[in-house]
Amino acid sequence: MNKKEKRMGILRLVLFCVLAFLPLYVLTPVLNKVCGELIFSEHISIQTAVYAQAFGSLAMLAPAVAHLLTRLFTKEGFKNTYLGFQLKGNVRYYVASVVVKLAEATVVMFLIWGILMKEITFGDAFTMTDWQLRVGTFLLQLAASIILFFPAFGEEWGWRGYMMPKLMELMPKPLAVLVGGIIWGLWHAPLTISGHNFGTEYKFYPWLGILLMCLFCVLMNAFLTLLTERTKSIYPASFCHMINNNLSVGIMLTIFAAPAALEKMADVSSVTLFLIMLPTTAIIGIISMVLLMRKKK
Amino acid sequence: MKGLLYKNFMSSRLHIAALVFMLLTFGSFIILFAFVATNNMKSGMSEPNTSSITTLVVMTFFMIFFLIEPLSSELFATDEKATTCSFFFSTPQSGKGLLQSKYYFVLLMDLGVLFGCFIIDTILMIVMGEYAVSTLTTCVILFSVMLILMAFRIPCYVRFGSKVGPEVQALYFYGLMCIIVVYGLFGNISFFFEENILEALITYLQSGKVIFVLSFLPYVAILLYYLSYRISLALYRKGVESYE
Repeated sequence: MNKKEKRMGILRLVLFCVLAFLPLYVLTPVLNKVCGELIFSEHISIQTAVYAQAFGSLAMLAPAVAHLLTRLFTKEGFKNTYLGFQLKGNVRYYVASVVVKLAEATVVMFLIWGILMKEITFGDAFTMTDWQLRVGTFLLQLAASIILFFPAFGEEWGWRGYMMPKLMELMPKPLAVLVGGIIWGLWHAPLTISGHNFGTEYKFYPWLGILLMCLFCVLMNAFLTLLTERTKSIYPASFCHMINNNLSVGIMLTIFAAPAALEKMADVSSVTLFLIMLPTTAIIGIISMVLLMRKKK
Repeated sequence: MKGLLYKNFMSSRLHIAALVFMLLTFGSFIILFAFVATNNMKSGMSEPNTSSITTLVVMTFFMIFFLIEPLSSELFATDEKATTCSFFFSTPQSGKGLLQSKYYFVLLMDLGVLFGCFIIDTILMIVMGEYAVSTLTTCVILFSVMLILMAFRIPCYVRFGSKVGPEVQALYFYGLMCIIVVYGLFGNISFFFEENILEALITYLQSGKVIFVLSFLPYVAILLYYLSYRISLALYRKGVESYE
């Protein structure tokens, strides 16, 4: 890569980041002001919750729009868009994109029970009474993830489909994953400040939340970049992202946990839950990083 | 594949335009209706009754999803000439590529409509605020039903053509009607005798057993769609020989 190409790459990356960050950084404070409360905080009205959910879904499309606009503005063309399915020889990555996240959520449920519910037996914490309703709800939730595919694709086509390849051209892969993860985490900052994921009632608000989000994004970025780079397609990462958002540990708990366990969980802060989840995400992130460094056979 | 998808897009562009137009029209209508109804509920002019709005939304989505059906008929009718098909067999992608592109295209259309419904549902949530009820799970069910219908329909078109195909397909529906009649005779239809049929039906649908069965629908739909593709592949050459 010569100097001119490098400079152009940086310029495109900066433009992309500005376009991706702008809607969230401008609209979130406006929405907070209009609603008169932080839109993702703990004690919001139903009206605000609905606005927040709709805003969250639409905001996820911003990176994809930024990707499209950057290519148009800089006359880059539409090569290497990662829009092909590339199924041949890559089915295992498609399967992994769904299975790994589901397995992670299941392991975290076990960890939560082991750490936070010592006095409740496993059978009491995760009861299978009404099993048809619980399994049915889980399967429907999994199928309904297909709808969340659109917003998830919106983010992935921006971050993994445009930002990461550009970063990997400019720097070594581990550094690119780190920088990309931090950028991605910072993109979430207005939402984190508004209470997304962690609420607002924790120590060192909002800095700890932003820091944890960046950490999570770096670890998750490793896995998502691995999926995208190995398949040269954006869809496995999008599937993984949609499962992450639609069948997170919190949702799995509401489906499978018994009322006694849910009562116990009500007192636990989101930050604690997040810290319990982090080791599992870290293991997946580190394995992904190692695999990413190795060349594809 | 991209070329074949483009060809499919060009040959069905009028249908797609009509589909988009219908999506926008129905979507705007339902959003406007929800806006007025929500304002009336907020100002106390009418009783809070979200179930009727939800029913209307579901009915609208139902109609929009079923607009894919004529599009698929047109898609198969376009290439229904022995010479055209022979030409496709001589290309590197062969008839398999052509069929694959049509299956992908129908799936993409179904996904497109699902995306349209997702956008409408999101706007409805913003408009209705505290009265909003998400219908996204219903959309996934409709998406699956459409996929199952297509899974049965496409092999009929492939083997018998777009003229005789629908008649053969009607046999499936006779079968389905028989199942419904048998269920009506021996199954649980107690919700029909309730005062508020709609609410009773919703309660019945939300019971564990029904949700458990319904939850398999999307997965069954994908499996059937794939099987349908394999069957169509096996029938295609024979079907081409019967084209005029």
